[in-house]
Amino acid sequence: MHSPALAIAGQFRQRHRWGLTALACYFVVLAVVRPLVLPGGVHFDGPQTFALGVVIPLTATFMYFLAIFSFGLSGDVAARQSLYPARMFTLPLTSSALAGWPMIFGSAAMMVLWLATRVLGVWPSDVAVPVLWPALLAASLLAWTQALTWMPYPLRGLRVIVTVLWLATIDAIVMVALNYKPSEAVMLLILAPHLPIAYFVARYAVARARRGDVPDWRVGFGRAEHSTTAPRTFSSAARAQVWFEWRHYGRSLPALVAMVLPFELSLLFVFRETPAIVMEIIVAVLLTPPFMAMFVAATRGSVTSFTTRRPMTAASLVAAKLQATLSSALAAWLLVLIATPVALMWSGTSAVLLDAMHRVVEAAGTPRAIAILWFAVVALVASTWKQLVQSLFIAMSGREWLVKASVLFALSLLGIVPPVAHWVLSDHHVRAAVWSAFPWILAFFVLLKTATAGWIAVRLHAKRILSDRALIEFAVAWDAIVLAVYGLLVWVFPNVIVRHYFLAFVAILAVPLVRIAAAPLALEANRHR
Amino acid sequence: MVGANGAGKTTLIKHILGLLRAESGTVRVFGRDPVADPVGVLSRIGYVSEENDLPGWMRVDELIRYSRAFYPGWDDAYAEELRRAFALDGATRIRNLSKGQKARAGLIVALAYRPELLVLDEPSSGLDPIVRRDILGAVIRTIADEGRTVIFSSHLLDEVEQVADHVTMISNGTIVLSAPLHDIKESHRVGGRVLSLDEIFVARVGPGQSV
Repeated sequence: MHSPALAIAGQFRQRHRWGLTALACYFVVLAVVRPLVLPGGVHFDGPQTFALGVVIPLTATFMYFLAIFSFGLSGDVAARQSLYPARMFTLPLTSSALAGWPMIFGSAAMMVLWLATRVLGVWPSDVAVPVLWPALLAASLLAWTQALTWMPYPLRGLRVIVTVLWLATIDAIVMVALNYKPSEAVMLLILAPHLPIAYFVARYAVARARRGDVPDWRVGFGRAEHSTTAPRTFSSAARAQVWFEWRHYGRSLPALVAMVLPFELSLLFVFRETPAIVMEIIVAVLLTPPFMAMFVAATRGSVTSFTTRRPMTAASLVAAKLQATLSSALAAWLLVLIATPVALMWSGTSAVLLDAMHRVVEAAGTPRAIAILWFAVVALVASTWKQLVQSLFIAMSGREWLVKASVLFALSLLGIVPPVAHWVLSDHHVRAAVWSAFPWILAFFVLLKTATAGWIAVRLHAKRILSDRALIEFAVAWDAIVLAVYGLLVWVFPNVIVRHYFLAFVAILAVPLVRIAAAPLALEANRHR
Repeated sequence: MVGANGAGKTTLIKHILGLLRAESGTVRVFGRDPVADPVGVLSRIGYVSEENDLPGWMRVDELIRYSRAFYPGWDDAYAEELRRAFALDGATRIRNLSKGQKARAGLIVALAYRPELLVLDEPSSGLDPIVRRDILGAVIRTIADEGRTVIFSSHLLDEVEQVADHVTMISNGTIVLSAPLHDIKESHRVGGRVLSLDEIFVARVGPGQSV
């Protein structure tokens, strides 16, 4: 390293090289897809593929950049202390450099992200895509996130509130400005001051954190701040462990969703005139908790040596994690289910969603439409929980290479699945071939899932990780859930629309089994290496 | 239990706690396999390590309440007595404690359920004399007042001499000497002078010595 800037850049590159590599791969795929597919007469600019190919990866990468360039992946977001890594305070650098370089790298990354997506992504033909100001908006939001997360706060949790409110305010300013249909230059003028102001705030925050200056209002809020969140007594060790998991890991997902929602919902105001994009934004919002859950599960599901020494079985430790993750998923969804209707009404786009629901009622009838709606809500909440728990076995294995490989795999899927899905859906012959083979494909995965589950059950039994009774209860519970899902699907989708065996396959594959069952095995292997 | 850095003291302690699976041979604590029966073994062991890994986000009170749930024999009065004796504020987060205070907090949750076996893995390393005195006091109290067993791993051999009945020296994963302290000292005399444990240690595992 020949300069402080390169040293700091090296830290980001080294710690996040796999994520950045995956992002580069996504851009390569976008760059290849556009010239190769579009001239072939394939329409890739429909709203659905636009959401899959552009909106979701763009939003995901924006969130990823927010996390890595604010050092949010390696700290307690709610703590009073600065999130800026204390290890960097001892570097022979000025506070200006400590604040400035990560901000410059982050802003540059955000701008490259937007510009690359703007150039390489395939946008709907009816949307005039701005050139520069969204890049500056993204950089400004990141810069403010950095400044506000690096600031020490006088009360625990205040960081989340201040950051969310300020980011929402910036979004609101942009939305109000867009109402007047301003030119690109005007938008740039509105956004330009944010970067330097955020830099000065960040420099002040880093300087303050560096000298250990953490304001303390806890005297004034003595009772609230000093009061412990732990009950006076836990009725059992299992309850204590659930509390531990919730306090340590459970609040991350709701906090992240709370930070991202304002940005996503603000897009409703930007694209309110385009119903198709409004629907895609709603889809993106609804997919946010399960998507964020993927990252939370990969980074927060680890098991510390303190936990492994608890006098509990591996199965009990896993059960506590499962309960805490359920609370986490429910809390995240509570935020989405409150904020989204408010944003829809405020932006005047609720009619788009109501129209879609009316169409479902007309097509399926009122009882089935209500059942579909409830099923969708339950399925989304369940999928969030599933994302949180299905990666547990990876984090609990304690193998860092496995954690990183799984994240890379997930990001790769995001880049590969949309074009492949589009290719299948757009080519009549391919679609017909895949559709005729689809039951066999599903049958293969059902066979694979049940065989793996059987192998895991044998291992759990042989290692005495789960008792016979617990294994049977788990199997019965899983069967009951699969049957319930199957029954609901059969009622919602009559035989004339979809074959029952197909629905049975879907139910079996949808209800998590293998990866949850593998978690105690992974923990056991990690606990007694 | 004494030995040079990397001799295998912590590895042996991890075997006792069931955190490592033996590649050969067997490990039994209270007649149980700590890997096969972690609940049966860990619920009877108190453990304090040099690398204090208590969760920094917890308050001292929360740590005590949380830990209490795992041990039926938890003695609230004793825990409170220790907390007061160590002058720890219950509302303080673990991460805001000094190294010595963290060691004391670890000692509270390791002692308050009066474990049958107390395992201390270099607990005094890097601590000031007052905290070291607290730790030694706890060890002596556990042995003398309650007749329980303490396994104490340390580099500070003068401390070991103060509290140990039996000393085991480890080098490269092998026991090079294991005997009652009195016997060791009696068997290491030079010209009628009893060698200190420091001198015996250097003589046994120092440079040029083969195991």
